[in-house]
Amino acid sequence: MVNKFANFVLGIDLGTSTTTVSIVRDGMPQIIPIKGEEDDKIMPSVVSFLNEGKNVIVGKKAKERRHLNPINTIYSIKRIIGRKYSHSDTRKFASKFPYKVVGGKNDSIEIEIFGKRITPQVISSLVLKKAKKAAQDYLGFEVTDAVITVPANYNEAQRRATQDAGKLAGLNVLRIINEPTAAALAYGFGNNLNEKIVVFDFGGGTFDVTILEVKDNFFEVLSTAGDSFLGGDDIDAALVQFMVVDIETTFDTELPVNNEMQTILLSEAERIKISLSTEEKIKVLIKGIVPMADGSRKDYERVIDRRLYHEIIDPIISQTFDICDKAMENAHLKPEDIDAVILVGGSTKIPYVQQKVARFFQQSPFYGIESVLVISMGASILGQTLVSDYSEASPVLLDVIPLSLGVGSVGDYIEILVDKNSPLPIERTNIFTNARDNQDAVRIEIYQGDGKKKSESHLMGELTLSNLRKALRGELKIEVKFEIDTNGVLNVSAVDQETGKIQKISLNILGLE
Amino acid sequence: MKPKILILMKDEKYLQSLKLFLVNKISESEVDTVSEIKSLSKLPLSEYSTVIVSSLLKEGVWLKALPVISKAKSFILLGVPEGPEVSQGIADKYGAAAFFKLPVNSETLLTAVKNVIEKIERNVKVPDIMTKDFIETIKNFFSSMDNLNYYQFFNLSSKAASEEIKKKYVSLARKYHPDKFRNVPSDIRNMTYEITKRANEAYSVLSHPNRRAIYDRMLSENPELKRFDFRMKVAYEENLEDTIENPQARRFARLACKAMDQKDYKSALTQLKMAASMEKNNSYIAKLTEKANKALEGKQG
Repeated sequence: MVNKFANFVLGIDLGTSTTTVSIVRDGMPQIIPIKGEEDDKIMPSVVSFLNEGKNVIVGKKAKERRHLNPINTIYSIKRIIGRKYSHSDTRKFASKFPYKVVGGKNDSIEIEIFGKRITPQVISSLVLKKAKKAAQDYLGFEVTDAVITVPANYNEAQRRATQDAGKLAGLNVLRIINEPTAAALAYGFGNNLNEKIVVFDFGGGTFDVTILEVKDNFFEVLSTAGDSFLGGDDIDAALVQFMVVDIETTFDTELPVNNEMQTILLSEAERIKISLSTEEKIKVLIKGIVPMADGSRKDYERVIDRRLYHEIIDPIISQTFDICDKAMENAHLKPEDIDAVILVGGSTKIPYVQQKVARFFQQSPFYGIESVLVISMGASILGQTLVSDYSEASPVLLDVIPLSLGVGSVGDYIEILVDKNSPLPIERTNIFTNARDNQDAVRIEIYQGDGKKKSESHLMGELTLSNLRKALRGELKIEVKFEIDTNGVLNVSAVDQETGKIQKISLNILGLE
Repeated sequence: MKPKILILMKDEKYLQSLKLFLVNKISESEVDTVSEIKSLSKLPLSEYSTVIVSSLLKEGVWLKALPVISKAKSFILLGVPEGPEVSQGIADKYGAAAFFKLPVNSETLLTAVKNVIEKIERNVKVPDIMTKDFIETIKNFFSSMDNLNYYQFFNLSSKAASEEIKKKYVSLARKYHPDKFRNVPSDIRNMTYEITKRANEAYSVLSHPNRRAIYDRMLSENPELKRFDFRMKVAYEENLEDTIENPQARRFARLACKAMDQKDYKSALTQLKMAASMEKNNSYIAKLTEKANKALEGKQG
């Protein structure tokens, strides 16, 4: 059927702390209002379960319940989605969250709610569902196509988990795109730029810096670097840590480590962070928080000014600039080569961060589009181009793989197949053989990361070639094609070179059930 | 073929006069009219060659009618002065076959309607990007790809400077990027995908000084070489661990071996117990357990 019709595609920024959704209408990206949420458009990525799990609340109302019902109110799930339970950092987070994080099959993570276990993908899908419904309410019809954004440094498992969350929410995920690239799209769309731009994306849970060259609607990523364990949450944690030490030394007492204490201090930390973005100093007052030896409880009062605040958070902020150095090096560029710096993510609202960015890149960063909205707008722009006929005004994106991909070799070594920052889509072919006569299966470990050694990299999963043709050791030549698509996701296929027959192959990604 | 046209408009007078005009001028045409969006769903929309829709309707603007109009073969947008602003950009974005800002010369409108109907009837839906020539170019490039080394692929000499290579790569990537070909027949789209993958592969080798040096050397040793020879045969050491199916069990077995190397047989047995619970009846785990037990007895004895 002849249908030149452009469908509608949702652009969803599924953030650690907040989620926003956009759509392109009348040629321009627009934020879709979500009734009842902050400014009617920014929804906290928080899910709260009540009534033995029979009811679910998502968004602002759920965030308000963090205090009332910490074990069944899930926030910042993005920090652990797609991760391996056995990873030391997972356990570090799990210990900080008041809700119950447990291990599932295949080294995956599960959350225990009212005795039932659910995956982080399910939690995220509930947030996505609400965004989808908000779009339906606003537009008057259902939209199922979507582009969902992820941090640029997301690995295989994290990307797949996000795709799964989208599917569970009833969305047809056209593309997973990197958040900094989406931001660059929103900034450069329709502006006929010829610039080298840096996107400094400092969100609730992750930090990414991406360097792009934008020329006549062609967006080429030159390099990207990041830390998936560095974000606004860490600033909150540093403030909490400061208050704990301050209380304990001032009152010569020990603060109990429990959920209630954690929640109280955390919300105070958030308040401090937000206030000091506009005020020079703030008075902290938490009534009855200090347990004394005689059983009484004292108030904690303290003034925190910007100077003290900067001292507390500087170790975290400095890490972002170490990463910027790496990214600039990989792109073979210096600060003076950069034409524009775009700030993205809630944590860039902190004036101290803005000052340091300006100093590092020797220019004032660009604030044109609100840092919390720009990502979903960029995603909607890409979504639109994916369903429309191409025209000269359509942007073309050339993104890169953020981590190198390799296979485990002998000893502690990895054979790198695809270098990090390689443009996507890309493919590599490798030939594998059998180590024993009549070997039934060959197992290949897949690593992602920066290092050449297994101990320095991240074991992403395992490839198994099974039902191998019976042959003497070394005789088999199985050609395995590793293809990384435009989502940054790995697809594998294998062929027995001798017979030309398709070889049975399966990919098991750790961290996903 | 009797072309069927539908007109959707708020203004009844203009609606009827337009209908009369089209019926007179386009032979054997059937023109239906409707002034409410809600009546649309009752009509066999897919049978209409085109729907002429006004930007202002009784229940709102044309955007509201979009999801339903999409069932027709095409639509023509009429921008009315009292309605929302319609531009070429908007018309393109939503896939209008044509658009006019009223008032418009009736002959102009008629020509456009006739053109659209003719196109629809000949089933010609060729996006601007897909001219016959370009399709040929894509097919030829795709089929010749495997016979080209990376320099030939970029149509450059092997001595080309890195800026030249970058320029060629960018122009190829812009020309053949698969995202531009989403709405074309899948065989063409797949070809552009493969071409882009090859361009990315070639660029990732030639832009990397080390890899380029290796590639150049390989090429001089074997002038028939096409792609970077990633075809390394990875042979595995004889590894009894591979007989353990469950990866976690395998990990425990590995830890047990390490423990045994350090003569910590108690820990080894604990690890082996875990391994055995995850993978029953594995002879390797059994053998290791036997070995550890023996060693422990020997130690205690």
